[in-house]
Amino acid sequence: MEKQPVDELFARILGDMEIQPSDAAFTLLKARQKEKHLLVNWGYWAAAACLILIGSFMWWALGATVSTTSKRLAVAKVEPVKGPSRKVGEVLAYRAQSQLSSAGNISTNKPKESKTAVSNWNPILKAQYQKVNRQLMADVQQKELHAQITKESELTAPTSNTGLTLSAVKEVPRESLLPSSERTLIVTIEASVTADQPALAEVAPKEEATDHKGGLSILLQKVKKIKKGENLALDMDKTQHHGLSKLYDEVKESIKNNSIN
Amino acid sequence: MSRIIPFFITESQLVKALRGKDARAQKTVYETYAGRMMAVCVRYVSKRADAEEVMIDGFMRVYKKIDQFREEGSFEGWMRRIMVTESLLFLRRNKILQKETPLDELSGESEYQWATETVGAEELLYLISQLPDGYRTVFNLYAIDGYSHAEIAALLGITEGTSKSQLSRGRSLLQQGVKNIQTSNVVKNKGYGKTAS
Repeated sequence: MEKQPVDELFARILGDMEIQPSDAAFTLLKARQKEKHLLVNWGYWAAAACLILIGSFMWWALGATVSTTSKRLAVAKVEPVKGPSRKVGEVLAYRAQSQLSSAGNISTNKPKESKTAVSNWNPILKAQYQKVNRQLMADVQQKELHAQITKESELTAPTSNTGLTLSAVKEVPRESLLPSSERTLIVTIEASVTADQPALAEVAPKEEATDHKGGLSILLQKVKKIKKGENLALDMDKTQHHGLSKLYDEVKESIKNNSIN
Repeated sequence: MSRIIPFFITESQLVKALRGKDARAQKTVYETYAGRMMAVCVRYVSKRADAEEVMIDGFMRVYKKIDQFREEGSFEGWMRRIMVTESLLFLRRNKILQKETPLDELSGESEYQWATETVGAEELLYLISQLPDGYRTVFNLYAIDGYSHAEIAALLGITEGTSKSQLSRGRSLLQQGVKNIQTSNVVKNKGYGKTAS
């Protein structure tokens, strides 16, 4: 379709036509630009706030997981390796688990809550707990005695502070923390830890005290030895000094006699 | 084509300043092109107030999309296209383009001899504003702004055949209108001539 004269007429006259807009048009344009800019800024702020919220939530969630694992590892470090105490731990874990399941409280990850929960146990369970706790105490005392004896017999052998070896530290499988079914296992172990806490709290200073005692005895023995050595040396000095002075006196006297003669 | 603009020696300098969100450059662009862009908008959107709104939106789009201007054609041509697009968007938003035009308004006059000197710009603008929206839009796009029927069809979401038929009907109405204006002008001039003599 070709252009016709009417098209050319309109194009020629209206193509370069100018119509001045109102004076307020530019002001309106500037105002709209500012408005849009503010809206865009608000959008950015909202997005930033959302990101911060999500980030903080994730940090909180990760922090909770990390703290749980660290507690678990700490428990594994403190936990005695030998037979009876482990059994005690398992028994306590079982008790705590049953108590928690009966209470219907699943989110007892925090030791403080489980510690206070002990006072709320029913009397039978409390008695069992105390019994087990006493058993644990006895075990610990026995172990302590054993450790003292071995220390006295092997003074030169190197000993660790807690009496635990590195083999006692058990790595916690990371997968066990993730599924919900095994998360309850973590809860029970933590509960056992809280049950162990008073006993362990008593054990630690005692072990430290025995170590301290052993160290003192060794020191005393060393001091005694040194003292003995010093005394001997002093005696030797005295005898030596005595002999020399005597010899000196004798020589002096003989010289005197010679000179008189 | 490079135009000499106050504060900015060439058009490319002005465009560069616009890219840097320079407020002075924005004002310069507005002051230089507002009149012509307003005329474009008035051709498509008949009401002046609406046309001004469209023009403001168009300038905002120009400032925002200045990075898309590749300096291959003229800056004014690029701005005109933006204004046309904004006008079409306005018409579509207000569902103006969807209105049907009754066919009995059309006249079949096509063989018309022109005497263009007697018709002014305001009168032609008035004639265009009196056209049905669809005809006006197609006529503006094809006759004045140089779009092809294929482009018009794509822009308006119609077929090329519809675009052609709307153009021919629009032309006929405009020819009739111009004829009427010419006749009245001739009568006025004759009357004026009589009283003057």
